[in-house]
This record gives sequence, structure tokens and C-alpha cells, in this order.
Amino acid sequence: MLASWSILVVALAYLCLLFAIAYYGDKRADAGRSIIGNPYIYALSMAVYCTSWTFYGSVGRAASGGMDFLPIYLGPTLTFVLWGFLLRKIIRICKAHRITSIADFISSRYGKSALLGGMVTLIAVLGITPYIALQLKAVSTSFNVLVQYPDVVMPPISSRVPVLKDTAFLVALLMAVFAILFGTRHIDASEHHEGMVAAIAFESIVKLVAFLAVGAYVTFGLYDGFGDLFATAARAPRISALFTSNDAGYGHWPTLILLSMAAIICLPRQFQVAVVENVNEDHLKKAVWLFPLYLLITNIFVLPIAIGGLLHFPDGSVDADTFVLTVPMAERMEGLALFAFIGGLSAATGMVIVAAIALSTMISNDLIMPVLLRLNWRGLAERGDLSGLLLSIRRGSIVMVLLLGYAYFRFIGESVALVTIGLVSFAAVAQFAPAMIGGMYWKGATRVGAILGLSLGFALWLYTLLLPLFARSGWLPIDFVEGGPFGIALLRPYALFGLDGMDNLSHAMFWSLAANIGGYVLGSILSRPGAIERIQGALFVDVSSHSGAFGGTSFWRGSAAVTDLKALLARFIGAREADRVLGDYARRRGLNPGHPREADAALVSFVERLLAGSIGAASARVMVASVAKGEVVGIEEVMEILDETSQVIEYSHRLEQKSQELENTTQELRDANERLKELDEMKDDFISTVSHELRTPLTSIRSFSEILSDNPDLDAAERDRFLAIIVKETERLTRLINEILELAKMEAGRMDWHMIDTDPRDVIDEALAATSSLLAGREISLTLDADQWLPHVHADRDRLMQVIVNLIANAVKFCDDSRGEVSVLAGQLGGRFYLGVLDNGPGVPPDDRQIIFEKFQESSEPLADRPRGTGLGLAISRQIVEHFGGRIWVEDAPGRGAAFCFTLPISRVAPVSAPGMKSHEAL
Amino acid sequence: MSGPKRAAERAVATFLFACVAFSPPFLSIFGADAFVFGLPLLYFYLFAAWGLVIALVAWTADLGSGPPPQRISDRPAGISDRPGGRARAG
Repeated sequence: MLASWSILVVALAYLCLLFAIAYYGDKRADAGRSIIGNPYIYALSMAVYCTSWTFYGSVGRAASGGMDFLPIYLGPTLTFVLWGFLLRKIIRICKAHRITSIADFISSRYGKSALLGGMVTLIAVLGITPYIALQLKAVSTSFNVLVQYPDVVMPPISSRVPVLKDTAFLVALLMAVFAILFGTRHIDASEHHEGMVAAIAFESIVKLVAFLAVGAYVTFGLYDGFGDLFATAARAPRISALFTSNDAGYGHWPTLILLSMAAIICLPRQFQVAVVENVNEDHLKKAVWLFPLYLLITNIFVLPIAIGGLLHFPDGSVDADTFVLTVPMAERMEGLALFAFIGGLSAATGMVIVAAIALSTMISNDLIMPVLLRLNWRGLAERGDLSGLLLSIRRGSIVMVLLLGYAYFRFIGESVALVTIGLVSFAAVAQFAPAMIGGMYWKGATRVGAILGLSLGFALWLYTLLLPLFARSGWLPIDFVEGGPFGIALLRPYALFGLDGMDNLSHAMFWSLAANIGGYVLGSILSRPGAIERIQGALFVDVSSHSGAFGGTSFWRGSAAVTDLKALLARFIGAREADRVLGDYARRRGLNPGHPREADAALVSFVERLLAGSIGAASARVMVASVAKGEVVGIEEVMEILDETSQVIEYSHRLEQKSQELENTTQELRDANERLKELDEMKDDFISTVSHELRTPLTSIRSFSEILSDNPDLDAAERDRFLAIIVKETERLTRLINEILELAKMEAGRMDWHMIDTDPRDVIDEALAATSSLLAGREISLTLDADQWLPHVHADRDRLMQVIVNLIANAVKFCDDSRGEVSVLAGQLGGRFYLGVLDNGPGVPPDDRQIIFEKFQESSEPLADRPRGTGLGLAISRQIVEHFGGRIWVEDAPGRGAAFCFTLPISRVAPVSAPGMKSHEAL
Repeated sequence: MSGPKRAAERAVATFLFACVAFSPPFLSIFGADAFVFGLPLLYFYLFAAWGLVIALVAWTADLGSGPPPQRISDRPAGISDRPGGRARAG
């Protein structure tokens, strides 16, 4: 037996338990050991989305529309798919600007406009009222149904009962008390309600378990699992139609999904739990899939319970909205029915408490305070502690919101299904979406556009959705709906401008959102944003690049006395808190907190943001303006601020860097191209020279061969002479080709070098021995003048010898014919090994000293009858010496002739190098 | 490609998938009078598609915290779809 008092006791005990949890949560938060600092509690608190609508209403909807209940839960999932674009950005913006409600968000974005804040608040209150009425209706109906236990009887209509005896009225008062206890015990500078969040999370668990319990009982208790349940239902044609073909089609699904997508961020209570109460942005990563998962689990049993209810009460005498309760009751499951009631109570109280707190914050911050401050703010500002006034306003707002909800329930909501009421609310808050999302991504959106869009959208919502509902409840003549106002058919609210054939909701959404977005865009394009709008727009859109505390951004120039600011803060958040906050600020900035001084612009902005948390952005601005000297910055300065602080400078800087890099790269490319061209030319020269060099011996070989072949009767001596020339030219040709190949190999770096520690004396001796044959038959003296100890060098022995032989051969070739003198000098010069080959020939003119080391370049001096070389000896020598890390050059020899010299790095220092101890050898 | 950018792409792809999966034409197809595992086809389809979307969100949100190291080692083929990286290396 369930007496009304026992149900009341259980319900009150449950609410007290909730309060205990909230109290504990607050205490832990004060002690700095938060219990809500994890993604699971965060996700569960978001589940405040599931209200009586979900708990009772979904089943009711499913009983008539099949899966129609589901899109409302798919929408949030879709929004959360895009959490990285939307939710995270909203949270960052709110944290940076201490935004505490959706009204504050929109007002703050559009230049801290008090008008916009007030409009949003008004729309939210009017829009949410039906939603609160829905909860009251659900709680009172479920209570009245449960009281009849064990009979299943639908309760009488409330409006026939006196207000004071009406369960719904008592429920409303009770909830107001709880909302006040939860949400307005004190004004907190951070505006977090940790205790409330903990309680909401707990409620989310209770309502889920209760609903699953009923669902499991229906599915597995009354029937033998899902298969049996659906099989039974399939035999009843009226029921089976619910999960097969849908008569209405699915045309309204996109509308419902879109609505719920907007609702999950635009509903004040969702904004409260998901954004304002978010303690750590990282919690999102888990919550964005945990919360949709919660919704999925919740919804699994909706259709089974609906089917169970329809099978149980086939005559339609029981309201489908109560199946969750009435099916266990009919089966005499007393405990389960009571548990279901508690679950429904959880769902309703959670929503009402959070919504009431969120709305009361909005009403006090964005509606009442601005008006009070504007009407008589001087008088108000002169009053002492205002935190008490603030609390009273919020408590009064909570009571007002709940009474409004009750009034709606009593006069209108009685006859309408739960889900229909809820959808009206969704449609109202969806009007915030354009201004909100547009403001986050479009810097050009203006206050005028937002106001125009919101008012048009709201007006059309009122006209196409709320007023017809009034009419259907008998509060307006029904002709208004059927024939249009004053009989103008074109203005019928359900078929505006002749748009017929859509369901009422889709029709209303189409017109209101079209007008809303159109007004928003058009208004923004046709108006010019003010200074603060521009700054706020940039800050909102670029919130990530302005991450951190916006320390450098300030709208204030000039200053204020610190004492004035402190007094101002103290009035709203209490003297102790103000002391603490300002002390913290000073410590963070390394200032002396005790010293009275002028506050700079940064501190003024800091105080403004702090106040914004308590009284809203628009009011905070007015209050701070009252104590701050100076004025708000003008548009030029705004642009200056933007230039200085925003990413503009960063971007242009980076751009500059990039273009500099690009220029450098281009220059390098150009140089490389020049070098390539040079090389190309050299190659051409080389090839033509090589061809020329090859042609000379070839020509002579050919001509002598022709002579020999044409004149077979040539005498023997002549023949031998010609043959000797051919052999000599062939040798020259072979040598030339060998040297070209060798040089090419060196230049390509494919040469095999056998680098070893080498004693140059051995190499010189060998070279002298090898070249002695050149002197045969000529009047040339070859002398060596070397230090006694020559330093060792790191070199390829054979190549080094090749260089020395080349130089000696060269000298021999060019030295004076009659009294030829070639001397080789070796020693140490400036810490390097030095070798010079001197001749007494004509010498090398200064202009030629560079080019003779090039390929095929010989001195331009007439060579007379000197034997021709290949023209590659010096080029090869230079390659070799440079490979050893040395240098080769030519200079004037003392007296007459040329001196070809090279130096090489030393690998090992010679033991002693006594001056004057030289060996003189004559060969 | 950086983790956040990849996550953004996945998010958009998931969103588009969901839009199609829950579009009226698809719902009409699955509204047929048929049963899967004893469950009505539409009921089964909606929850399966929904679960899949949630799984994709979880998968994407995981990436938002930066790519886990094993992701690099277990897909060597991934190098081939990044010509930019190779061009720079060469």
C-alpha cells in the first residue's frame, strides 16, 4: 500500500539526499578537493538533458509515433561530433571572458550590449517556461497516479482543483526552495556550482537506473526478451505499425534533429552544465562520446516500454505518458513503481534546478541589474554591500520562473502531450543559434544584425507556434488558427503565406529560422560595428590565438584608483573575497598589494571581467565606467590595439619571414643557374678545344699515312722518318686522351687516391731521376736546393711525383735554349711544405698567371719552335695539389724566368730544420 | 598531417555520415517490415548506426590529444600518402 504520505516521505528523503550531496560537493570544492573534476561526472551532469520529457514523454511519443521520439537524442550526438569546432570554442570564449550564461555570451559578443542580453533573457524565460511546466505536469501527474495505487486511474484535471491544493503548485514551490538552496547560497566570484553539478550527476545515475529497471522488467519480466516482445507486438497490427512503415514519413526528422542540435548548446541549462560548470577543457574529450552513449542506453527501452504499455492497456484509457509508472503498478510491482516515480522526480528536479539557476542568473545579470543601474545607478552605486541585493534578485527570479511555469501548466499545458510542450521550448532557444554560432565565426556580424535576427525569429516563433497553442487551449479564439487573423487566410499561423503541407513544427522552424538568419545577415551587412563590437568580434572569433587571459587587451585608457575598484568589487562579491582576489592579482603581477596607487588599464579590465562573472558583461561595464576615469577607446585606437595585439602583426611578421626566405632561395637559384650556364659554356669550350687538340695530331698522322700510301716508292730513310713522326703523334694522342680521362676523373671525384704519409725527399729524388732523360742532348742544368729535413706531407705518392715531374718538364721545355737552368727548391714556408721549380725562360706575363692552370691554356707568349705539350699538365697539377689541400701558383723567378711553386699542409713536422744546413746537389 | 587537423577531418566525415544515415530516404529503406535478431529492422538499424557514430566520435576525440606513438609504427604504408614529407627529406 502506497499512502500519499509515504510517497511524500520517500520523495523528500530523496531530495534531502540530493541536497546532502550538493552540500558535500560545495564543501569539498571550498577545501580545494573537487569531486567533480573528472569527465565522468561532467558527462553525467550533461545528462540533465534527459528530463521528464525523456523519462515519461518519450514513451508517450513512441506509443503514437514509433521511433519518432529518437531524433531528439540523435541531434546532440551530431553536435558533439563537431565538438572540436563548436563546444570547445564556446568553452574557451566563456573562460576567457568569464561568461556565465548564454545571454551574457551573446551580449558580450555584440559589444556588451545590454539590450541584446535583455532580449535573450526574455526569450529564454518565455521559451523555457513551457519546459518547466512540462516537468511540473510530469511530477504532479506521476504523483497523482501513484497515489491511486493499486488502481490505475488517470488524475483529474488540475484546473478544477484550487491552486493551494494542486499538487503541481506544491511541487513548484518545493522545487523553487531547492533551486534556491542549491544555486544561490552565496555569490561566488567563479560562478561555479560544484555541489549542484555533483547532485545533478547523481540524479542522472538514478533516473537512468530507474528507467532501465522498468525497461528490463517489461522486456524480460513481462515478456521473454526483445524477440518475444516484438513478436507479440507484431501480431497486433495497430502496434506493429509503430516500428515498421511510418504513415507520417520521416520528413520531420531533419527538423527534430536540427532543433535538438541547437538545443544541446542553446538551452540555458545545457549551457550552464556543459560550458559554465566545465572545470577542465580536457574533460570534453571523454564526455563527447560518454554523453551520447548515455542517451543511447537510455533510449533502448523506450519502444519496449511503449509496446508493453499498449499491450497492457489496449483500450487507451491510460495516458501513454504514464506507462513507465502504470505498467509496474498494474503488475503490482510496488517497489518498482516507487523507484520509477523517484527516477521521474530525478529527471524533473534536475532540469528545474539547473534551468532555474541558469535563468535566474540571466534575469539578474542581464535584465534586472542593467535596468536598475540605468534607472538609478547612482543611488545604487552609493549603497554598500550589493551582494545581498544580488542574491535576493536571483532568489526572487527563481520563484518567479517556477510560478510562471506553474501558470503555463495550469492554463495551457494540461491538454498537451509532454513532447509537444518540450518542442515549443526547443524551437524558442534554437533562435539563439545564428547569433551565437555566427558570432563565433564571423567577425563582421554586428549588434544590429543580432537584434534584428533574434526579434524576427522570436516573433515568428511566437506567431507560428506559441499563439496557436494558446488558441488550442482556449485562450485565444480558435478561428485565429483555422481562418487566420481577421479572416486573412494568407496569415494562418500553421500555413503562413500559404506554406501548407508541412508539420507545424517544421513549418514554424522554417519561417522563424529563415527570418532569423536573414535578419542577422542583412542587419550585419547593412550596419557598421562599433569599437567594442569589433574588438569583441575579433576576440571571439580568434579565441584560440588569443589564448590565455587576454592580459594585454584593454578597452580602457586612463586609470582608476585601486581603492575605488576594490570598493566596487566588495559591493558585489563581498569585502573579503575582493581583498583576496586583488591580492592574488597583485602577487601574480609582482606588485605590492598594500600600496594604494592608480590602477592601470589591465587592472581595470581585470576587475571588469571579474564583475562580469557576477552581474553580467553589460552591467559590469557600466559599473566600472562609474569609477574609471578616462573613456572607452575610439575606433582608431581599436585598430591600433588590434594591430598591436592580434595576430595581424604576427601574420605579417611571418609573411615577411617567408618572403625573405623566398627571396634568398630565388637568389640561390639564380646563382646556381649562372654557375650552370658558366659550366655549360666551359663544357662547350672544352669540347671544341679537345676536338681541336685531337685534330692536330690526327691530321698529321693522316697526312703522313697518305704520303706513305700514295708513294710506295718512297726511299727508306724518308719512310722511316715519316713513320717515326706517325708513332710520335700517336703517342701524343694517347697521352692526350689519357690525361683528358684522368682530369675528367679527378673533376668528377671518381679518382682513387692512396693518401699516405709521404717523405717529399724520396718523391723529389725519384722525379729528378725520371726527368733526367729529358735533359739528354740539351744544354740544361738541373739543380736541387732542399732543406736537410723536409716535413712529411699527407699525399698520394704517385700523384705528387706526377706534379713535380710535370713542373720540371714544363720548366725544361721553356728554359733558355743555350744556357738552360732549372732549379728545384724545397723546404718549409709558413708552416707548410714548399716546392718551387725555377727556370730561366721567358717567364709568364702577369695576365696569364691565372689562366695557364686552366685546361688547354698555355702562355700567350709566342712559343716559337718549342715542343708542344698537351696543355693539360698544369690543370692536372692544380687538381692534385688542391686535392691535397695545397695551393699552386706561378711567379717571377729571381732574375729571369718563371717560378712554379706549390705548398702542401704538413702531416708531421720535420725533426730539426736548422737554417743554412742545406744539401746541394748537382745533376 | 597534425593530430588536430586529422581529427577535424574525421569529425566532418563522421558528421556527413550521420547526416546521411539519419536522412529520411535511408529511414524509409530501413522502415521495411522485417526483423533482425528478433528486433524490428528500423529499431536495430537506428541503434546500430547511432552506436557507430558514437564510436567514431570516441575514436576522433582520442586523436585530438595527439597521435599515439604506435599509430606511426603500425602503418608503414602511411609514408606513401605523404609525398610532401618525402620531397623535403630528399
